[in-house]
Amino acid sequence: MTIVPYRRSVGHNAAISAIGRRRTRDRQTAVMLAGPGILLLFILFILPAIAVFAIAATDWQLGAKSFSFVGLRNFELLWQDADFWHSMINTLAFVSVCVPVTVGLGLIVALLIEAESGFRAFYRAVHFLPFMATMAAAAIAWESLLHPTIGLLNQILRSFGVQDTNWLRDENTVLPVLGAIFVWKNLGYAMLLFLAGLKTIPSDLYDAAEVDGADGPLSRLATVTLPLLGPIAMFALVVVALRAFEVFDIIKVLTQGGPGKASEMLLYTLYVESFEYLRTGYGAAVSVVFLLIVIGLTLLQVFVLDKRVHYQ
Amino acid sequence: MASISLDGIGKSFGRTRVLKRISLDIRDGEFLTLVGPSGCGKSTLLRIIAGLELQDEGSVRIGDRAVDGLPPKARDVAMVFQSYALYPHMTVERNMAVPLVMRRLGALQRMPLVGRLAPGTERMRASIAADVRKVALALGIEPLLARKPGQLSGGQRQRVAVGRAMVRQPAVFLMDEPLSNLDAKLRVSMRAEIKELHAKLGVTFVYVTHDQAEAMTLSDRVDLMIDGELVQIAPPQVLYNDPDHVNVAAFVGSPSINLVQATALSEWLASAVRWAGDAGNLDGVTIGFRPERLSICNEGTAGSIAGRIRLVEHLGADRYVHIDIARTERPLIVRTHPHDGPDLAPGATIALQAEPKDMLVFDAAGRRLRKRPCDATEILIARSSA
Repeated sequence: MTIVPYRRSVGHNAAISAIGRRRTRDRQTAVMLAGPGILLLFILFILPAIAVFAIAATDWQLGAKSFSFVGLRNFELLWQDADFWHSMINTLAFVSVCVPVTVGLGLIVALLIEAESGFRAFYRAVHFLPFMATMAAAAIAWESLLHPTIGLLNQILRSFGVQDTNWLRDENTVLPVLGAIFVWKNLGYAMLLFLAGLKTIPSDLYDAAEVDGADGPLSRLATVTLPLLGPIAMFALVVVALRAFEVFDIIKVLTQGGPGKASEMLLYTLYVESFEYLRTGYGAAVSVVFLLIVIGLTLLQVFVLDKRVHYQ
Repeated sequence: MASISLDGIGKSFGRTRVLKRISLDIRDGEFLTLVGPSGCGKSTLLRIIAGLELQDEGSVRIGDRAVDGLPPKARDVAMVFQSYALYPHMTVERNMAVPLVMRRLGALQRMPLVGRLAPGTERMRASIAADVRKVALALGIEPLLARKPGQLSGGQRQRVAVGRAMVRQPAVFLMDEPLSNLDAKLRVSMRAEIKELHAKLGVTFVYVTHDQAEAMTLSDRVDLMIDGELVQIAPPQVLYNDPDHVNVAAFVGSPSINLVQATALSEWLASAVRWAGDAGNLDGVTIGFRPERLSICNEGTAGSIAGRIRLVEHLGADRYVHIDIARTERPLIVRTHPHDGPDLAPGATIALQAEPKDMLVFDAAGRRLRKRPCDATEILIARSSA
């Protein structure tokens, strides 16, 4: 008997190189498939974002041939700018009131619609319509409703003996009115999210709750519905908050930030600085602040949604 | 502890009648299984007992009271669901505590934060936690108390669901296919655990399954339902050996019973069994042979029927032989021991024998013919006792 020493065969090496070739081919395919998307993302989103950061460090004015780098000077100005802070506080107040109200009402409407089987599609459509409407057009309709003399709202109030209010020209009412329009517009969206969320709750859980004794409307809500809607509610809060931060169209159409600067908000300030005063560098600095808020909210969403409850 | 009595329960969903006036008495401490093909109404019946579904007619009594007007929580029943229905956001401990919290604490005491301030809440919470721990220990799930359902395996979730049912010591356990989401091996071991649990608790169990093996192994009595009707209710052995209906015979047993049109066997019946009466008697009559009640013999043995082996399946302890005989569509399956009888190979010609007493005879409507009305069966019975 002879002992054959172990040797790597030629076939073995050939197999290795065949696998290597296949790997290269797979990589090429991946680049070809993902490449165009990455390129577009780069051109349309990442480059402009970098440009905004760069412009924010200059004193460039829109259309100007020359500019110089000023470092963080724009942010320093921003910090000292009372108008910017006024706009910022307006925005924060708007967001902190409108978002919970929108999401809360959306939840209530969704629960009411789910509770009764009749006219479900009708109620769903009615509440969702405002979200589908073009905001600029809807804003004009709101303007006529809110008109101080011929507006429907004041006419109704007058019949109850209430004094006329110039809703959009009174600095005490302008923000609440804009907030109400925002809620009207976005309620349907929150409602739709919750309706979808309610559908994902297994009916077995309600049965189990009923056998366990949680069969009243409130205890059922507390035991099953609300906890299981938690992740959806988080998502709705973040998305509605993003929409509230970027409120622009109703301000532009209805108030132009007025009266005075009573209804000026972050995105409108950004627009005015960049495109009306043409202080593009300064506007870019506002953009950076805005961008940081949006990124913060998005990270919050990713972070919290990652830890969401797993449904079995 | 409670008996359950159903009297003429009927239920329709829209135009579909899912339960057709079902009457049934379940004894105190009994393990009764509702079994049947899917859509036969067994789950609906269980949900009606639980109070999750309201019957259209008839009444339900648990113990000595009619419970028709009572919500599930007042019926003193606990239920284990097929999906386990554990609250995904709660830990195992909180899941198991829910039935006790809902019963022992008032609405105010249940409120977060505020509830803690209400008098007696702390003491109640402590006693609930102690009860939960006791049940968890008994079920061997104590180490899991702090986990959430998403972090548990299927078998563990199943055990938690049983624990949640046990924790408030109900008079009746209702189980809706509790094992069907488990893999085959786990199902067998959980089956044994449920049987032990029943022996230990001694309360009434009503168990729904479509798995005949579960029904046969677990139950004191099995209630076989088909198309919203109760076909036969009997202990598992009776259901297997002495079925009332061809559907019962066909549903119970694996591999399932061989059902052959009697007309296809007329010559054999005449020669081997001396089937009396004219051939017209055999019209529509079906004869069933359990696979283990057929035996294989050499070709030409007196009183046998010739056949040809189509397929042999080896299962270790058993061997299933598929045999084609003349004038039948499907082969007959014979269950033999691997070392019994002649060496069997596909294509071989052999013969089959059966004792007359092992033949189950059913009329055209599927009803079992025991003695009357067919005189042919009388001969069968007479010969078997001779």
